[in-house]
Amino acid sequence: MNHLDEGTIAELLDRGLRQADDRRAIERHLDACAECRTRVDEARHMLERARAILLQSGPADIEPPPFEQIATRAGYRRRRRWRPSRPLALAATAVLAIGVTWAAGEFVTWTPSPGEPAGVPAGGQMVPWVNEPAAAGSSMAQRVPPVAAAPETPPIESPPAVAPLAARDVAGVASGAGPGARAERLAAAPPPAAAPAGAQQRDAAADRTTEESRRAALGRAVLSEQAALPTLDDRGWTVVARADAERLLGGPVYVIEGLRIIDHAMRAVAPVAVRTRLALDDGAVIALVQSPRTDEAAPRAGQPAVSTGQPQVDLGEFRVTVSGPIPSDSLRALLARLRR
Amino acid sequence: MATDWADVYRKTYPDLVRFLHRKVWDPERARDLAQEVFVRALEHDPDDTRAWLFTIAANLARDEARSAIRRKQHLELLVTTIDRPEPPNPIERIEAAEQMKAVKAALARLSERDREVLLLWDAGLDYGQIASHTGLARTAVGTTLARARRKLVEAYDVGEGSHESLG
Repeated sequence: MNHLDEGTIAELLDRGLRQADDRRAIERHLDACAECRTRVDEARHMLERARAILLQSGPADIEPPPFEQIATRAGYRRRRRWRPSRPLALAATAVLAIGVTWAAGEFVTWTPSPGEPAGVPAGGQMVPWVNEPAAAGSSMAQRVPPVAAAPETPPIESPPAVAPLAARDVAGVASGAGPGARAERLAAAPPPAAAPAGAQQRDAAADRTTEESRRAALGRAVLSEQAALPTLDDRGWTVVARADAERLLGGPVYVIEGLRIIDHAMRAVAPVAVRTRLALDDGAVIALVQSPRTDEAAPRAGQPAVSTGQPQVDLGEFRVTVSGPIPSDSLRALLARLRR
Repeated sequence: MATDWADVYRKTYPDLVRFLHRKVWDPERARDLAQEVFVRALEHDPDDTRAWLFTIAANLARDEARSAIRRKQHLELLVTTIDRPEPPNPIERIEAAEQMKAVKAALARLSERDREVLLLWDAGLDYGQIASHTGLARTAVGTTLARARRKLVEAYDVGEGSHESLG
């Protein structure tokens, strides 16, 4: 047998050899070949060092979050996949409109004007067909059976009235879909603030997109029917992964450079917000609350605002407020270190 | 037989986070991505669970890197973003950060294929799964892996980790 090549030695050490015969032949060769035994030892040393090097790149002691949290997210998404997408909904609306138009055509007949021959539509007046005897010679009227009344066509263009997001979420859970305890806690949460009338008309398309993304993120945690749900503390915050927090906001979550992130949480009642808790070196905890900026409360972008009494800053379309057990001046200084 | 996903999750999650961490170099992001991988796994319920999980993880990490580039964010190792658990004192924290930088630098000296094979091997995938994931012939995995391990050790020794004793 020839000397062992590098790949074969690697397979031997990694137990990658598929055939037991191969292994036996190699072992017999190693018994007789000191050179190959040395190469195997060197390769083993290299393998152990590579594993040790990789091991120290961390992170160490990784604790997985509860499996139920993952299952909840996956379960919600699976149900959500059956929701019609917007193009599908538009297509369905178009088909419905065509169908309604056709049905309407079936339920009307032409009433000839005085002097016009029966069954000739040109110049006639179109009226609903309401269980009157069919006009002689009207083939359409002969096909259509008598009905009590034509079906009422719902308005296609106007969207259905949409309840506030949080209210719907609470109602959905409290109506028996979710565990009772959670429903009670959600129901006990403060009601959502009423939106200004003018705000509903503003940039409807963009708002709808943002709303959908927020709803998707909220829904994973709130609309679940499963027993195991993310923890919701008394103040209505649900701990979520950063990716979900960003989906909820529809933008990046800001943190303070140099401070350890404890967790991200979202608020399940309106207005939507994400809270990020950060640890200071002395163990104190500060909280950033980030929410979409409303126009009426918007000072110049990037300029600190103090209207609420807590240091806050506007970054792009978001407002970030900071609170914690340190002086306000220090909190304001930390705001200058906000990073995505 | 139905997959016991809770068991797979418990056994694979740490490996997956480590695998992702060596690609995105952000512990929190690695955890987020690992959770996303499992969410997708539960949705798809694949047969070859481990290979599937790491394939999706690699894809997510690649997407993450692309979006980071788009945002012009450098995937620098941020010492301060290392969340739980942290070494108890500042000196240990600095040392841990230096070790990670050294490993990152050593891995960066490998070719993309060598690095991928090495990380998949370290994540516990067998030769067949590595071949399937990377497109290598199965018989080429051993040679590639041996070369990648040797290059990693050499690069590490040449770099900042040369003074470290790793046995």
